[in-house]
Amino acid sequence: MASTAAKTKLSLAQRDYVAGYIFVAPILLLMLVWFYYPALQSLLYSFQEINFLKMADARYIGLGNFQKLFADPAFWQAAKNTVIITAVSVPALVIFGFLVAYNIEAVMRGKAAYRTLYYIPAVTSAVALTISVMYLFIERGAIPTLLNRVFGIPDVTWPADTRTALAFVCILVIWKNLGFFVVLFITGLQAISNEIIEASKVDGATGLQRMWYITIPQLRPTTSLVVILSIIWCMQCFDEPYTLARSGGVVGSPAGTTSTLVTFFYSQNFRYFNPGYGSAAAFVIFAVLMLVSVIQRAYSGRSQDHA
Amino acid sequence: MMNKAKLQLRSLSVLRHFGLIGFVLLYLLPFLFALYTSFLGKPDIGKFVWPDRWVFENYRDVFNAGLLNWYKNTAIMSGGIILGNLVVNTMAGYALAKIKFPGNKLVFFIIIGTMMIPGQVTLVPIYTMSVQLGWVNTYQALIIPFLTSGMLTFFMRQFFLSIPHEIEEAARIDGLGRFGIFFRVVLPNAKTALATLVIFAFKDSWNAFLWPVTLTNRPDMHVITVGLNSLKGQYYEWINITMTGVVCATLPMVIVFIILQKHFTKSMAMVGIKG
Repeated sequence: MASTAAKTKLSLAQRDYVAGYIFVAPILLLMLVWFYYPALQSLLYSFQEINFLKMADARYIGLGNFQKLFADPAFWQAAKNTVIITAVSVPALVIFGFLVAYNIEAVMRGKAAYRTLYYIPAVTSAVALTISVMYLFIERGAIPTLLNRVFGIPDVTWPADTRTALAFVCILVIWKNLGFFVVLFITGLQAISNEIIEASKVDGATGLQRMWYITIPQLRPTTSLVVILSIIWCMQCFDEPYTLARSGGVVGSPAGTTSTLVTFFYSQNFRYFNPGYGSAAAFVIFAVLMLVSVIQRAYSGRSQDHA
Repeated sequence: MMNKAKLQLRSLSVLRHFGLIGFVLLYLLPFLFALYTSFLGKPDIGKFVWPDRWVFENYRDVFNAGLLNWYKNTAIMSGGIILGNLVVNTMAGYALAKIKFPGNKLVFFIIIGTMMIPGQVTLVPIYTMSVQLGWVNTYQALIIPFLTSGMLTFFMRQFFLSIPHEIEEAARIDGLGRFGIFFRVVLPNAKTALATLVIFAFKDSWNAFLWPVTLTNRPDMHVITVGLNSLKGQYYEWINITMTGVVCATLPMVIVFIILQKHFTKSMAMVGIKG
């Protein structure tokens, strides 16, 4: 009697194992075939010299691609541009994202409408956004004229001028991603318990004091998520500079001022047919992202200890 | 004293509304500008005035450039990707949240690991695989490699973790097996999360550019983003036509988002974004 009970119990658990494996089998199979296998292949490419058009002639050259990469000025320009895009866009996204979310949460009426409107650019394609913003920044267009009158910034076609093209890419990246971070900050703000806010009101804290001493510290988990996500996205910036380049033009134009690590990688593969070299660049991006996420882990781990 | 404070509060609120409305107008300016320009004839471009004549021919031109075909290709691609993601990620997310099986942790790391490696790393090998399979310029190439998402699986897992255990226990006592519980009890309770998954998968596939531009090269296989980019190249001097393309590429996604947005914000808050 007891043994049959144990038996059915075991078989129930075993049946659950089987169910578990059936549930995860499709994703594992697909990820192994369409993600891990190609990623591994790419890692192998990075140690080879390959001509895309004659894949059979590939040969191993050890770390040759990486040596060449680190001596390549075009790679360093792409790396520098990527760092500039990240350094400009991330703080802008954090600050504007927070300010918009804070004000939306502070008003009584229209919260849902604001949330929806601010999220719209985040659901549209970078290609569509880039094209329409681009025409606002054309010489003698609305924005360059205004900026020229007010700040004396030269009235030029921003995406086509070597002095302004990279700044223009930063503007696009901020424009494209702000809405998503506004929504993230809103969910973060909603998670702050009302009791703390109420207590501070009783203590007579002013609105600004409350924001500075309570809201911002309480938002820290959200802020760190916003920082890490925006770094990852900025590091992988591609669609904007690709769309900027006129058809047939080199991606990263004018004169490489908008090239990024991913456009560098892309042109190595599909313009110069050099996937070995391109893959080496891709793994540099990967290594940097890993480093960033390790730093972030350590940082957020430490802040949790303090809490 | 009290009145003064109230007055202050009210004027602050008015100020906030002014700021928010002003900023959102600026923020949506490119789209408003695109919408406006899409109804302009060539002579009125760039004047920023109320035109003498609103024209609709731009829409006809974009239509003739292959818009319907772009829509069709994008719809097939997005439909396949959304359906696949819906099934595959939801099942995996559920198993990771609710079923204890040996290797559970390892599976979790394999799935989450895909978020750590930038997808572009796999671009060339997947292109070569597509060439070998004869998939270049086919729908399979646009769909099959993109049926999974580490992020969305993680999202579904977090969501299922928030569903109380008792519901499943009750169903089990009623004699339902794992699959019965999943399909008849868990899924009907997961509508908000599933709507969010659809929004994300739809947004990413509808707006995908790098992959379609790599895996297809025939104009009849253009998806909307690639078609739009080709419009920009063809009609560089005809801003009104390109802008019409922008409107056509953007509007469907915006409408779907507005329809589903209630679920979206609700489930974002439910999952509780934590760093």
